[in-house]
Amino acid sequence: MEDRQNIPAGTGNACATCPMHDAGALKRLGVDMKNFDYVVALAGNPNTGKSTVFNALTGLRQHTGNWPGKTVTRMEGGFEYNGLRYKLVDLPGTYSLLATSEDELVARDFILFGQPDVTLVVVDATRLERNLNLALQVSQITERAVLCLNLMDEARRKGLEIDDRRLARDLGMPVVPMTARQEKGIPELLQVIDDVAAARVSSIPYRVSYNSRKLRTSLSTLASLIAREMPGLPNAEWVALRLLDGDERIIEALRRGELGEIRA
Amino acid sequence: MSSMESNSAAEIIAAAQKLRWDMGGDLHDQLSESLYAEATRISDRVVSRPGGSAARGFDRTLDQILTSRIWGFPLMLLLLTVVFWLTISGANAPSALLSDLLVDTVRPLLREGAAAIGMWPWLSGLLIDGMYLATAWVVSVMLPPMAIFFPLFTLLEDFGYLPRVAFNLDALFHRAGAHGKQALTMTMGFGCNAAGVVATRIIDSPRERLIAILTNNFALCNGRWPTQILLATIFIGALVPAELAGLVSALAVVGIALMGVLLTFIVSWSLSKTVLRGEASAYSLELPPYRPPRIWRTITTSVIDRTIIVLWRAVKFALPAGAAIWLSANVQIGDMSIAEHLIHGLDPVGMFIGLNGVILVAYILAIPANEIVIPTILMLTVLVGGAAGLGDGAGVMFELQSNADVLSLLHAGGWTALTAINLMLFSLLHNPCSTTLYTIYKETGSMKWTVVSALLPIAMGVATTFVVTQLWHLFGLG
Amino acid sequence: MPQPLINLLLFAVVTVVAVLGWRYGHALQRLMQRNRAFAARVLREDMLKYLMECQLNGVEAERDTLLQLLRIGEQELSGIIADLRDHGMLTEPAERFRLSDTGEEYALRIIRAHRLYERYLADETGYREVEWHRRADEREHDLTEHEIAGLARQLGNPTHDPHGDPIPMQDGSVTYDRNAVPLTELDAAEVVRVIHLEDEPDDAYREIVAAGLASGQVIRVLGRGNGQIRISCEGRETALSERAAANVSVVTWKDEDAPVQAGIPLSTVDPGSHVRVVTLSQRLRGSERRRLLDLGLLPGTRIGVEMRSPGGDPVAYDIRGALIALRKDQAELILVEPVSGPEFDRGNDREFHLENETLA
Repeated sequence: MEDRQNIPAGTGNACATCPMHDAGALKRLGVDMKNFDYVVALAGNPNTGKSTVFNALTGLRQHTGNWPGKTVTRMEGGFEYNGLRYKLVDLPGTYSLLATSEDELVARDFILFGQPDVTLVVVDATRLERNLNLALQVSQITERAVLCLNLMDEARRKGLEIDDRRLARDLGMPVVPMTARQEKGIPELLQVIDDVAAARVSSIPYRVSYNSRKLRTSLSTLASLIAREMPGLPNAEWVALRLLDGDERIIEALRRGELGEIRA
Repeated sequence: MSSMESNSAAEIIAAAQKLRWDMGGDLHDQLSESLYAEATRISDRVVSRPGGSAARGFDRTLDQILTSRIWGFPLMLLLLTVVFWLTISGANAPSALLSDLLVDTVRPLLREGAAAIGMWPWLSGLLIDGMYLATAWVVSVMLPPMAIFFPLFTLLEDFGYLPRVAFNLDALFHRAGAHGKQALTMTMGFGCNAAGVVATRIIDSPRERLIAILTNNFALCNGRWPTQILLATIFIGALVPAELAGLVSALAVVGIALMGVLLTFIVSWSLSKTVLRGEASAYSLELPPYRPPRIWRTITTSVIDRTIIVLWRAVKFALPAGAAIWLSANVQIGDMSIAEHLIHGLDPVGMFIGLNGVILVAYILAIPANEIVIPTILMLTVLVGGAAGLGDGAGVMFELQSNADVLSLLHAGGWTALTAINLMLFSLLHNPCSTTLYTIYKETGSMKWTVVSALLPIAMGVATTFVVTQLWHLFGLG
Repeated sequence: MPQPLINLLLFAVVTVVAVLGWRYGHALQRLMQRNRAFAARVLREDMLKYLMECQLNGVEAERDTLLQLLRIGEQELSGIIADLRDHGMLTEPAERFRLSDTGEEYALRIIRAHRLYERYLADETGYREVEWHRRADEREHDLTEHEIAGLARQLGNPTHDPHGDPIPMQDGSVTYDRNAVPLTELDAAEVVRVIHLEDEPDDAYREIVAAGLASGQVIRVLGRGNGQIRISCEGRETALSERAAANVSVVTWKDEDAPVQAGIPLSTVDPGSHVRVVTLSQRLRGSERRRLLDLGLLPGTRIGVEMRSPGGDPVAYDIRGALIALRKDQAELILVEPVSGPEFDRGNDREFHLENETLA
């Protein structure tokens, strides 16, 4: 845990303002990036105020009720910050990304293959434990994750105190406390989105320690094989996990070399 | 490069395959366990409660009341009654206003305009009397109730109450093989079936969602209430002494609506026991925390989200329907219009199930929206019966201000109390309007289920009206 | 007779015919489809499957069993054997049934189709346990290679069928656990893990299912007598006849990090109590299991039982801060142990995690 002391500034050789997203894959996923510089994905559990964040950023009036699976059709919007144009894509609200339902698959595939320049994970500050499950999984997939700690007003009302600096350190990703309903924290969020999109800041893929010994050994064997055969793959451990789970989408992507292209 | 890549990919896949055999099958369990353990560890470190455990008091107290054995159901009925009452009573005035404006004011102006620029009469007939009139009709009947009903419903949803309704009613729906959330999609269906079908997205278990979609049509939608009320008033009310007429006709309408609810349960049950038995089912229902709804935001977004989208779809279907209605009444084949040919052709079938050719043709032509069924029926009745002095001509839908006029027109068309009862039943039990069918197709992505959802209620409707007719004759009632 | 009555009677007849046609039309259609060639293929394939299973399990194939299994006469059996030999599926000598390489490959493909389809029925559909085998038996003969591959992909390339039998890989490789013994060979107080439930004959399997056994469970033998074996399984005590128990294969339980799970079903806990999850029953499968896992229902999770719906079912539970309603049939499959109130409990939990961390 000592190696996660602070969030590192941008990786050395990356061009400071180059978009990182995979424009081809995005097009396949149905996102037209014409007229946009960056793409931002919005993930989160149901009932965390995800659409409120979406509306606060884009000024759109999207109504999605209090239900899981409500955002079945993907909502898209755009906003401008510091002269750069961002496309915001709202992903289905899910509890997890283990690809067990259609919603989870849609969200997972977008983050993995679309390679958004920034992935925002909206969490409910009053139910952090439940929500971090998703945040950890996002962090395993992408280095460009930001945690929106939403509903801070409710947390305060319930007498909760949250050490957001420590949270950022432990998770290895930038954390923005906010109350999207009152548009509190939005300026800070915009600044962080800008930093991550331009690769001035990135998150560290979270390394989960698995309980089962068998799983740990299988995982490290496979992950090191992947790291050897495909250097430069940032999420080798996560890919190894998915292969161990028999995830056909990932096997197929590996076969076609789609994973190898990432960040290449 | 690529061949080397696929080589190493194959190697990795093979290695993974081998490791999977050694690990056993419960990987998903292990992953979830480790992830949640990690989440707990982090949240324990960063979250503290300086004031000790705060009471979650308000939410729980409210829940105790709203889901209590004693107060749960009465409160629910009260709230839903208020919503329906506000919708029905609030929609009348704006509906009349819109109708005045679009049908009685704008249409004559359009016709004058068309005549002034010398437009061919058949073109102005098609465009104004056909397409424009149908659309105007749909908008004026549909828009006001939806613009009231949906925001109210959305307010309850945003507050967090609707999931509690699902929680309260789940046992009932469970027995019918359905999901408690179907209570909500059904309620939504009373507003508009297309919206009800869209709302089934909240049901995240495949089998239960399909059941909710296929049975939504049994919720008597907003477009069918006027038909029911009109027929009950002029025919059913007439069967009893005048002082009881109001009560009896009201009971008849409520009876039809309740019959729809009952059929929802019966059909849900039989679907889950037969065709849908093999569909997967995974239940869960989250009861989100209560949150004060932001009223203005909710009203604007729900008007945009639900009302406008549904209305737009309805308009898209009303335009060609208006054209079809006008053309069918005006294009002559031999010495009769298409509509008359159809009516004469379908008359025997109609008589067999206690309806008539006019009604069947009206249901075929007016498939886009139930709102225009009655105007179409009136127009077609005049067309075949040639009742002088009524209506605006062939292919032009109309309504009559006085119920007595409607009654005498329909009597002239050969209607009896049996026709009215059967039409009330058929209005509940027939295929969903084309907007709803299209929505079902979009939501299920399956032609098969769309066809089932159309044919199932028709078959039930034909069977029911047939049995009623034969019983009626058997007991010599008419 | 008045005309309306005749009409009604006619209608009733038509309805009955339509219902019957719908109900049995499928069977009728199958009957007509089963022309000679197809029926012969089914017999051939069933025989190959049986021989392969014998070979995999290391037992000798018996002519009598074959006659019974395929429900045919001596003469017909000889015909099938000759046919198989002509196709190079069987090796000499004639009195012993041994599959050739071609025969094995063919048989493994059928077994793969059968077991994958059973997995599919268990995970992705709502059919009950006792229906899986019959449905898979019907489908195994007409699934194409392409469909089988698609099924495997859709299911995430499973390794075992829901009864615990390994699913042969596409290349025909298959691994069996050779250490398994039937439940009947155990003594009292032994703790074992169920790895396989034989799904034939049907009545024995029904008894196993009714007893609540599922592949993957850890069970303890309590004792035996009166031709029955009493076991403790997922917190319940239940008994199996010797005949059914012989169809349950088990291996010794020796996993160091998990103790034997005992607990009471969550459905028996009254509102107002607090419990901790011990385990999710192995009878929770597929999407239903994954849904609960995603909601955070895991061993060790604290649950507050909050309130019962006015209808009695479902009950709302506080699971990691969210209020989630579960139905009785789900809560029955979640095994829990009571704990005292939430405050005491949190302290406990932290300790638990510290331990875990020092272990890691």
